[in-house]
Amino acid sequence: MPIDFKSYDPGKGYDELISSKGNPRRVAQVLCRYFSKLNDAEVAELKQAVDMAIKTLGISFTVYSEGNNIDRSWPLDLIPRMVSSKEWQKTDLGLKQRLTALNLFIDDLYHKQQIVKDGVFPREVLAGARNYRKQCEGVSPPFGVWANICGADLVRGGDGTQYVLEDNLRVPSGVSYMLENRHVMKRVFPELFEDINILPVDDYTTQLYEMLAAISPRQGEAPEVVVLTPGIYNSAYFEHSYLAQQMGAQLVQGSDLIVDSDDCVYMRTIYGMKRIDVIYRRIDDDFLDPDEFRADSALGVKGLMRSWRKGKVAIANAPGAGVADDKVVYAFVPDMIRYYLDEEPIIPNVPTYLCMKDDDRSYVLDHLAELVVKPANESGGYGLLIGPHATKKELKEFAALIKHDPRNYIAQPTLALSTVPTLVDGGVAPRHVDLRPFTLQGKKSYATTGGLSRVALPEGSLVVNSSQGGGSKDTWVVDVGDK
Amino acid sequence: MLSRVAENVYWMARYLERAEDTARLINSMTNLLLDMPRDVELGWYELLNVVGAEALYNEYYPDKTDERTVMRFLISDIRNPGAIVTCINGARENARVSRDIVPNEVWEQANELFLYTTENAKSSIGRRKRSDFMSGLIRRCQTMTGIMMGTLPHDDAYQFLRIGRNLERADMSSRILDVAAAKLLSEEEDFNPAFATVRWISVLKSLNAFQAYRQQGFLGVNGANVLDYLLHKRDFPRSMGHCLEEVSGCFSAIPNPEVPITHLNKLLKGLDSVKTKQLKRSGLHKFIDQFQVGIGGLHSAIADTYFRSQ
Repeated sequence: MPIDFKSYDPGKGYDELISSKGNPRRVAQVLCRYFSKLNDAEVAELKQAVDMAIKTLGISFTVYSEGNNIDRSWPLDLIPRMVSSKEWQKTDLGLKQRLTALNLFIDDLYHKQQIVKDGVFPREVLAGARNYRKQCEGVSPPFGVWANICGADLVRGGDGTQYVLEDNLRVPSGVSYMLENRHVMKRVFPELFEDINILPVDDYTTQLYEMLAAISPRQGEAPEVVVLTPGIYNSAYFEHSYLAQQMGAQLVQGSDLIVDSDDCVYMRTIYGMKRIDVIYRRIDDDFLDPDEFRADSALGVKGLMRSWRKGKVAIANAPGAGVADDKVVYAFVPDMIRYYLDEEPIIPNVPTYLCMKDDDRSYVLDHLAELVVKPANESGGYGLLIGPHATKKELKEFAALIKHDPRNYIAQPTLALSTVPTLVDGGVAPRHVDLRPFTLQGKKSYATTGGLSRVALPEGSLVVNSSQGGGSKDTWVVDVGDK
Repeated sequence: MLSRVAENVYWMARYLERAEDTARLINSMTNLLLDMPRDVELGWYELLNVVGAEALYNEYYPDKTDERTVMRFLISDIRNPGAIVTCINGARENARVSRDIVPNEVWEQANELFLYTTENAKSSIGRRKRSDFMSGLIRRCQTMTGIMMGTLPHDDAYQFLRIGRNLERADMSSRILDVAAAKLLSEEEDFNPAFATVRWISVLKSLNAFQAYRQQGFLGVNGANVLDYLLHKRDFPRSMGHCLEEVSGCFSAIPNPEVPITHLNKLLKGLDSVKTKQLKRSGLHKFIDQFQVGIGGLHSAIADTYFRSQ
C-alpha cells in the first residue's frame, strides 16, 4: 500500500506532521508530496534500503534475554519526525536553561545546601535521595558542572505543549543512534536533503570532545580523553565505541586502567603506562570504584574516586550527578530555575504528583487508573504503572507499593503523546513518539539540533524504549523561512 | 595504543587470515579431487590434519571420514574453533571491540563478510556451491584486508595487524606443506612420481602460487623446487620467508621489540638453513614441527611484551 497522506487520519491527538486529515504542517509539505508520489514497490525498496544500510553499517543494540545477549539491528522508520527551526530555537534555550539550573543545584547540594536552607527544596527529599553520594561533598568539578551530558526526554501533549518528561543525568544513551539515523537517511533520501533545508546534526561529537577537553585538569596540554565502557555485553556498547571513534579517544575498560601512588590515572598501552586526563564514563556510580562504591565491581577502577577528588582526573558526568536524576527531584526543577536563575522555565514539567505529600498521595490513590506511576530512581521504562492499561491486580499492587514507600513514587497524568505517521503493515498510521535531545555543559552550553525520536510501534502503545520493542525516527529540524 | 586493543587487532588479523587460508585450502583440495582417478586414496580427512583439527574432530565424529562431515566441520561447525564461520565471527568480534580505532569501512566490511558467511556457509557444504562460496569468501577477506591497508593510519595498530596476518599465514603455509609432503615425499626417494606433479601443483594453487612460480622459469614442478619456493622465496607474499620478513619489518616500527626479535631471528635462521634438495619426508616434518613451535614461541613473546605489559 502506498503512503497516502490524504487519507491519513491523525486522530484527536497532536500529530507532528499532519495537522488534520489531508493537511500537512508547513514543515512537512515537501516530504508529504514526495511520499505521495511513490508507489508500493518504491516504498518497499526504500524500506529495504534503510534496513540494508543499518545492517551493513552494523548499527545494532543489545538486548538481554534469558541470559543471552542478542544483537538486534536498530529499528529506524522511513518517515522522519519534523520540527520547525523556529520552534527548535526555543527548545534549545529551554534545554540549556534547565541543565544550567540542575548543575547549580547539584553543586549547591554538595556544598552549602543553600536551596534547602532557603526552604525551596525540602530536606526530606534530599534525605531520601538514593543517588546522593556523601563521597562527593565539598568537591568542585571544573566550572561547577556535575552533569556535563544530559539526555532529557521531551514529550508533547494533546494540545501541542512540549514538556520535559525526565532529565536523565546519569549515563544517558542514544546519541549515536541519532547520528547514525541521519547517516542512513542521507544515504537513502539524498534528494530530500537537497529540497528541504534540514539542519545538520553531526557536530555533536566535536562539541562533546571540546567540552571534555575543556574540563581536563592539565590545561594547555593535549588532553588524553578516554571513554570508559563496561564492555561489549553492555546494551549501549555500540554507542560507546562509536563515540570513542568519532572523537578519536581511546575506548577503555576498567581493566585497562590503574590509579598509581601519585593519584593519577594511567592506562596500559604497548608503550607502557600513559596518564589519562578526562574520563567520559559510561558506567554507573555504583561500579566506578570498588574502594568506595560496590566492592564487587570489576568494571571500575580502584582509587578512581581518590584521583578525582584530588583533581588529577576529570570524570564526566561527575560522580554524584545522579542525585538530580530522581523523579521526585524532577518535580522541583521549575522551582530551581526560578531560584538559581531568576527566570521562568522555558519548557514546562509534566504536572507531577509527589506521593510523599499527603494531598497528592490521596489524589493519586483515588485516581490510580488514570495516572502513570513511576518509581523515583528507575530508568529504561522499567517498574512503572500505566493506569489506563493496568489490570485490577496491578493497580492494587501499586497502591500497596505507594503506601509502603511514598517517597519513592510520583504520578503524572497519562499524556496523549503526540504522533508521527509511521510505516506499519498495510500502510501508514499514527504512532506515539518522544524526543531525546542531548545537552552538553562545560565551559559553555550546547544542545543537539533535534535529537533521537523514539516511537512506540504497537498501535496505541506509549512505550518507546528500544529494549521493549520501540522504534526510532530521524528528527529533522527544518528551516522553512519563518522568523 | 592500548595493550588490549593491540591484542584485539592482532587477533582480528589472525582470524581473518585463517578463514581465508582455510577457504583456499578447501578450494584447491576440491579441485584436486576432480583430477584424481577413483582408486587413488586421497582423504578429506587429511584436511583436518593440515589445520590441526584432527583430535577435536575425532571427539565429535569418531567414525566418520566422509566429505560432507569433514566439510561441515571445517566450514560451518561452530564447535570447531578453526571453522570458517568461527574465524569470521572471531574476526568480527575483535573488530567490534576495537571499533574506536577500526575505520568505519572496515567494520562495514566485517559485517558484510559475517552476513555472507552465516547466510551461505551451511549450503556450501555440498560440492555444487562450495567453490563459489569459497571464492566469494576469499574475495571478501581480501577486500577487508585491502580496506584496512588503505584506510588505517600506518601506526601501531597497523603493525599489529600485519604481525597477526603474517604469523597466521606463515603458520598456515607451513601446515599445508607438512601434509602435502607427508604424502608426496618418501623416505627412499625425493618424491613419489604417481600423480605427484598434479599434487604439487595443487599445493602451489592452494597458496595461490602457481602462476608466480611458473613465472620464475623453473623447469618443472617438483618437490624440491616447490618447497624451496614456498619456504624461501622472499618476494612471494605467501612464502614462509616473506611472512617472517614482514613481521621483522613491523618490529622496527613498534616499541620494545628486543625479545620478540630474538625469537623471530631464530625462526628465520632455521628456515634459511633448510636445503630442500636433500630433504626427506621425516626431515621436513621435523623442521615444520620446530617451525610451528617457533611461531608459538614468537606469539608468546609478543603477548608478554605488548598485551600483558606492566
